Formats: sequence, C-alpha cells, structure tokens
Amino acid sequence: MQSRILVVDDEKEIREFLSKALTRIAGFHVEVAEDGDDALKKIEQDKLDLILTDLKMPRMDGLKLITEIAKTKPEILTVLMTGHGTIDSALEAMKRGASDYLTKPINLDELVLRVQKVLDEKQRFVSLKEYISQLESANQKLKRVDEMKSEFVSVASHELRTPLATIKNAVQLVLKGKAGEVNDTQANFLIMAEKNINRLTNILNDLLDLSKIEAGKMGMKLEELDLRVSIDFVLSSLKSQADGKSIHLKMEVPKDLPFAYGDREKVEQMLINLIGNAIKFTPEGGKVFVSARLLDKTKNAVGISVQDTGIGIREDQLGKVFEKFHQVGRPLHHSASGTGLGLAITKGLVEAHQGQIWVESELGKGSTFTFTLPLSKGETGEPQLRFILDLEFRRAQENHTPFTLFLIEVLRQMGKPENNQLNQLEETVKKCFVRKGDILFKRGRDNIWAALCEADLRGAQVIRRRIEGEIQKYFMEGGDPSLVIKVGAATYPEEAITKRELFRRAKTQLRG
Amino acid sequence: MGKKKILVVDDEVDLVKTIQVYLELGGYKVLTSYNGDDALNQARKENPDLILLDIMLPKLDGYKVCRLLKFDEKYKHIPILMMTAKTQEKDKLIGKETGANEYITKPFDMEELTEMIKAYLKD
Repeated sequence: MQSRILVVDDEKEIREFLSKALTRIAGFHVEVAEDGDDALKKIEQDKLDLILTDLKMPRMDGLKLITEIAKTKPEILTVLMTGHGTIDSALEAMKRGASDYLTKPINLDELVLRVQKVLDEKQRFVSLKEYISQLESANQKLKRVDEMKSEFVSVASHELRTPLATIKNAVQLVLKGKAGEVNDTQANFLIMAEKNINRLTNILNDLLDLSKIEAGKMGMKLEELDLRVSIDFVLSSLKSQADGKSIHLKMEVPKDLPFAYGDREKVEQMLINLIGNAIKFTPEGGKVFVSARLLDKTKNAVGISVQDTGIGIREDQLGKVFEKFHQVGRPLHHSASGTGLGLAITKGLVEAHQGQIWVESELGKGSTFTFTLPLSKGETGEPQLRFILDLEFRRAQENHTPFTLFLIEVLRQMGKPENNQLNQLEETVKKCFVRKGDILFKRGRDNIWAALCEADLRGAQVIRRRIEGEIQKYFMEGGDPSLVIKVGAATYPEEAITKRELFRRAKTQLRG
Repeated sequence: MGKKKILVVDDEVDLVKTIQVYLELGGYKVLTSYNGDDALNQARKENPDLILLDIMLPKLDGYKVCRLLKFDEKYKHIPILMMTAKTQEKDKLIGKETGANEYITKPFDMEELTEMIKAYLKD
C-alpha cells in the first residue's frame, strides 16, 4: 500500500523540492502544509502515515507540532528536519515522540532511506501488535474452553453419582439375600459388579479431584503436620493390602524432623497414592520403604520418599508417569488396576503445596518417588505465611481476584492467654471463616491467627463485622475479660500489592 | 412399640425404592416422597422418627426443607440425614448451618446407612 506523507515547511521551494523527490524517487503519496496549523488541519482531513516537518516555522514550530501529534494522533509517525547545530532540538523531538530526525542540508537518498525505515518499523510493530492480540484472544478462548471442561467434569461426576447409588443399592440388596436366596455363582457375579461400582466411584472421585486441581479451586486447610503421624496412619491403613502380598512395609522418619506445613487430608492422599502404587507394582515378598528427611535447610523443605522393590519404570517412560491417564505397564494384579489419574493428582497436590515431585527408577529393581513439602517454621519464623501468601498472590494475579489478609491477635492484660482459652477462642475464630476458599491458620508462638479470604474491601468489612460480632459474643458468654483481642486486615490489590506491604498494614492495626 | 417411621426423600424414584426395600426388610415403616414441598407436608403430618433427605430436590431444595424443620420447635427433634452427590466442603458447612444431623455422600453403602440410622433411633 502506498504510504501517505505530509511535508511541513514554511519555505515553498523546500516543500516542493521534497514533495517531488519523495514522490518520484520513492513513490510515496505526498501532501504539503506551510505551517503547524495547516498541518494539523490536513492531519484531521486526510489519513496520513508520516509527517516530515521543519523545525523553525512561524507561530507553531516543529517541536510543538510533534508534541501535539504525539498527544492526539500517536499512530502517526513524525520526523524532524533541523539545521546544523540544532542537535539539541532533534533530541528533544525524539523525546517528545518523533521517530527520527534529519539534518539540513537534506541528502535525498538519506531522506528516502530514513523515511522508508521508519515506515517499515512501524509496519512491523503493527503486525506484531496484531499478532499479539490474536494470541491473546486465542488464549482467552482456550481458557474459557478449559474452564468449561472443568465445569463439565465436575457436573458430570455429580450427576453420575445418583444413578450409581441406585445401582449399588440394588446390587447390595440382591447380594445380601434380601430379594431371595442367591447361589454362589450368582453371588460371585454380583460381587464382581459391586467391585466395579466401587471402582467407578473411585474414578469419579479422581476425576473430580483433578478437575478441582486444574481449575485451582481446591480449598486448602493448612496446618502444621507431624509427618510421622501421617505416614504411620497411611501405612497402617494400607497394611492389609500389603500383607495380602507379603510385602514388608517399613518407615524411617527422624524423631526430630520439624513439622511440615500443609493440608493433612491432601498430604495423606499423596501418601496413599504413592504407597498404594508401590504395593501394586511390587511382586510378592518385596519391600516398600517410606522415609522423610530434612532437605537443604535454606530451602525450608522436607523430602518424603517412597521406595519399592517393584518392576521399575523404563527410562523413556520416566517423564510420562505424571501425565493424566498414563499407566506404565500393567499392574501385577489386573484387578488392582487404577484410574491412571493417581500420579497426576499427586503431582497437582504437591504443586499446590509449592512442592516438587520426581521419580528415580531402575527396571526390574524398583522405583523411588520423592516429593517435597514446605516446613512449618524456618529461620525467619514465618515461612508458612510467606508460602500461603505466595500461593494467594499467584492465584489472585492469575484470576484477577482480590483477597484479604486478616490477623487476629490474642493478648492478656497480665501474663499470657492460657491454652484452654486459646482453644476456646479458636472455635470462635473458626466461625468467622467458613466460606469456600477461606484459609485459617495459627501462627506459631505468637498468639496470632492469620486468615486469607477471597474478599475485596467491601467483603472485608463484612467479615470484620462478623469477627467483631463473634468476639463480642465470646465475651458476653463468659469469656475472660482480661483478654484483649485485636483484628487487623489488609486487602489486595486495593490496599497493598506486595506481601510485605499487606502484612505490615494488617500488623500495624494490631498495635493500635 | 410400633415400627419406627422413616421418611425417604429423593427425586430419583429408583433410588428411593431400593432404600425403601432395604429399610422395610430391616423392620422399619417407610414413607416416600419425591419433592421438597411434599416432603415437608408429609414430615409435618406424619411426624416420622427420622428423615433421609436429598439436597437437589424439585420445588423446595433439601437445605430449605431441613432448615424449615430444624428451626421449628415441633419438629426439630427429628434426626435428618442428608444424602448428597456433592462432595465440596462448602455443602457440608451449609448442612451444619441448616442443622442436619449427618451427611452421606452418594453412592453410599446401605449397611453403613442402616448403621447410621440405627444409631439415631436407638433410644
């Protein structure tokens, strides 16, 4: 397409000379104007790509014209022509939005070259911008489709539950002889049906879990975790399964291992998935060894490993084991086959805790799965809050949702609050944060509860009133009057946009 | 003493039927209902010893039925077990606020359900 250029100069000869040159040499369409006002008028009337303007002109000079164009028509390019020794004006023009400048006397070849270059750059910029906006809209569309998919999985899983319940009840009725006598063959088939109903239920649960993880809609109830207790609990619940295959379960967790920080149910789900898998893929008489240790101290993390003497994973399959619906080989007992979602879910759960998961394996010898969890207390004293705030910031930025940090501190006029008082108050505090997505946790030694809510400023006010109401109720129902309960809050992004700022703002209110 | 009366409410007719058969074999008298409005009327008229209540119901949802009964001096003693196809925490919490006594997620084990019912109807 032919580019349209406006030449602005108060000297008629120069205007015409430049106009001719640009038309004949470069084939541009050229308009002329004799001063700034004239130029602005032409810009309004005509669709122009580039303005080539002289610096010194009566009334409005080149600089003013460039400034005006940059303000009102930023899509139009400007190039300034200056006399010798006025390089300062040239630089000033560039600052105000000019694309380039030329010094007089004008060399025609240079003029055409520079103008062409400026126009080309603009063209590249425009196509890049178009490309970006195309990518952006494609990305938006994909996001919507992905959300719809998650929504669909969630609705479908719920809808499937009711008919599944009917089938299960009907099968159980017949199986338990409540609809007449059942012979052994019939019973065996019904048991087969029942087993597969349970399997279907597990698949539904897995799908639902995964869709929640992918949509980032997983509520997290974070607390300090004694991994010895969690591992022990999971091992004892899988013991009968291991005993059935004479698999020896062993655990090794140092007694002084610091508490991890996470959602108990979800951490136990990770352990069940990994240890269950280990049992599934280990031949009779094998071993499954679960251990936990402190990782590099500066990283504030603990590593949990599940090692088995199973069939192992081929090297080319190692990278794929965490993919959805991927099953490496067949389990040793076909009846035990899973959904192919267990490891994908585990990975999602680990990542929701800002941890990592990886696998090492040797074919025929066994595999070791290791994942990390954040520690409850690090050197700085508040890693758990940092960790949660990290999560929330990331989520808020991705979803453009506000959130509010609440701090609730309990003090006593004389001495410290007693444990039973704190426990009682914990019940009160819990009542304030019952909405989906609310995260409440107690911070170590200071008697401070911190809570994060998906709430903007107005929502925060409502929650604050609820907290104050509950505190009042606590005192009215015979709470210790020597206790002092303070509430601080800060909302992202209205009141604070960094972690430190958010925390500081909420904390300042505790002092008041 | 006569048979204990249980009201089973779900819009899935087949599901209600299987539960009914199971409970009747367990020695209970079973009333059935397929929507919230009717469930509320039956509960008020028949004064059952226990109600098994689905959440997603036509006309009046299970939460509302539960709340209307639990906040009524005359009926708040009736134990209500909620049956739900949803697994989210939020639903459970709303259930607590509505005053439901127990929650059971579909598909459930009938043995488990009868144990639960037995526990509520002991005295």
